[in-house]
Amino acid sequence: MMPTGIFWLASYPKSGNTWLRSFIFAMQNQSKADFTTIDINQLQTGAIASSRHWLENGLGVELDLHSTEDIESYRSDAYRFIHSQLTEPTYHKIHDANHLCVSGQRLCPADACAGALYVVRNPFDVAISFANHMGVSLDRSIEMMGTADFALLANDKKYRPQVRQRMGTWSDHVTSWVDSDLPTLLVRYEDMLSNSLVSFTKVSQFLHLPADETSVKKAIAMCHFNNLKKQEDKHGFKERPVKSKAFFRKGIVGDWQDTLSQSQIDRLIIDHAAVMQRLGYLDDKMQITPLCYPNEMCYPNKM
Amino acid sequence: MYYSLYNLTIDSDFVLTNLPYFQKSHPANISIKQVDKLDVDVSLMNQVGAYCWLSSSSFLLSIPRLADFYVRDGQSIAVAVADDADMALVITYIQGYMLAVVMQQRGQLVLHGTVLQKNGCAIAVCGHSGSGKSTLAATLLTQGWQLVSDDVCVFDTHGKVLQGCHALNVWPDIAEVLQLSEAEPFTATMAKLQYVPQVSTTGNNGANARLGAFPLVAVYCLSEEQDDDQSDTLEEDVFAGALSEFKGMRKFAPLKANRYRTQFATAMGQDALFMQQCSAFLANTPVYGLSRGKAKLSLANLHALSDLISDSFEALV
Repeated sequence: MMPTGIFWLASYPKSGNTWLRSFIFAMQNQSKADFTTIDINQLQTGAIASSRHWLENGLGVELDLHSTEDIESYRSDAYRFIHSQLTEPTYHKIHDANHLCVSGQRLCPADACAGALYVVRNPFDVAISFANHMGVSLDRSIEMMGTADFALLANDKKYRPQVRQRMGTWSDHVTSWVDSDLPTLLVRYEDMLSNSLVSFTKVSQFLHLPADETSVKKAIAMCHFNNLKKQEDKHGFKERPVKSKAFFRKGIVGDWQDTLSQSQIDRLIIDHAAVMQRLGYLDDKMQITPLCYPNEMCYPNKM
Repeated sequence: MYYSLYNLTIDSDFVLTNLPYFQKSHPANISIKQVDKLDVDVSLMNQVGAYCWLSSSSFLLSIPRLADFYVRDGQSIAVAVADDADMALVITYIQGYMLAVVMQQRGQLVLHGTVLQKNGCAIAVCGHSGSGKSTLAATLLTQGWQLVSDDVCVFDTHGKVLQGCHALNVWPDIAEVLQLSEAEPFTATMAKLQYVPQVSTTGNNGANARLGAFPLVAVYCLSEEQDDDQSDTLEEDVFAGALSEFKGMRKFAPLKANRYRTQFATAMGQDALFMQQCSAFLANTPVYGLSRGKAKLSLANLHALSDLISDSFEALV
């Protein structure tokens, strides 16, 4: 039976979530005769999990009246209700860690979703893209990724269309999702790039999208990084943060080699060694693996 | 204690704020009772939110660790308050959301908007939570406008807009920009501040103000803000505000989108009534879309937005 309800598209920021949503959008729409390109400003996948509108409607409360902590404690209930009402699968981006709430349950518990697809990317490359995204220095972005109580939009003195998102460290973020009891598919950004067909076919199967080779290949081609970037260069992208020059920057593997200093690399390894090893970015001798380097043979898209 | 709101008399166990009150009254139109425990059968109601159930004549909102609110027949609100609940927050819910539901149950037209008046003529600034209604209203209040109602725009049976609570909730950053030094926290946890504007002693004593009902000259619908931006700042030095009029049948979509909790009103079976009321009351009222783009809400930008409204208002009256 086709599962219904919420599928989370979870990731630390700048790890390939928008690419993934572009792919899903292409898969959902490619049967339409007039669908020839993806408009990055019209990616009509579901609301982001931290959207105030979505939460307010899902709960029926006036979110503005409540404290950040109260809102956080209500979120699981909103997801559970929305999930129970759905009659088909829906796909929602989420950047929060799936942390334990005061109630003792996870922010996204198993009874409030159909599953979670977690996209992970080498933290060396994330650090660079995240610095650009947040408009901060590399040292600061590496520090954020290693801060246990790091949160996005923590300022509650002004209106923001999203609520606070607790991230934890980059490692906490990974384990909060991958070690949860949700049906989970873990996908590496590097594999999405170097081994696109296999990776995106797995994604399609997990999300109950069509998974035949022709459809998957067509969707991959449509949302090739260069196409998305070209659109941003031409028309802009509404999700671009004000502090960053462009949302779609390079989209490559291995940018860290020319960008990070040795001490910055060391710091990331010290902070995240265990999880990097587990994901294959470091080997058991703590050496950086080929996964972190560009694969010239396969780049840009091995079909 | 008895209170007056939307030209109705309310008999309330709770101390309401910023409303005219009196000790004695004829039988009240609405009663607000505090009860120990609510015993509501939700099996005959539709669940429309995680904490929210309704039928055509009843409405239940059950917020964990705060209170259960049960609104019935457009006449009564029963409230069971949780232990250690923030009473100021409970009262904020009663005065805003719950009394708006009462008015919807009474079959009156209710828009999600903040209403201001000048010389007895009113405008409604509509939009979703966070669209900037209160921010824009606070700006207009510094420019000679008077507050009629915050967040809820209630019409009487003749199509006039009714006087609501005399307080506005604004975000701290906006209170700072507009130097609203009187704005202060109303509840222990609420991020927004409450601003109670001074009532002008001149120019506000017209017949409409005495009657507590104002003819509506125009509706301004604020466009939704994009909600995918993670960054904490908005564009500096840009202003992309623009005003455009919805004409003819195109008016109905923005009005419907700005109906107070429109999904609830649909579940209450009020869609046809809403269309009738819009046709009767708003057919000749201009409806504008107001886009503020991604502009940072600096004083200059707020004034530019309020000027767009004031100029269009002056052209209409």
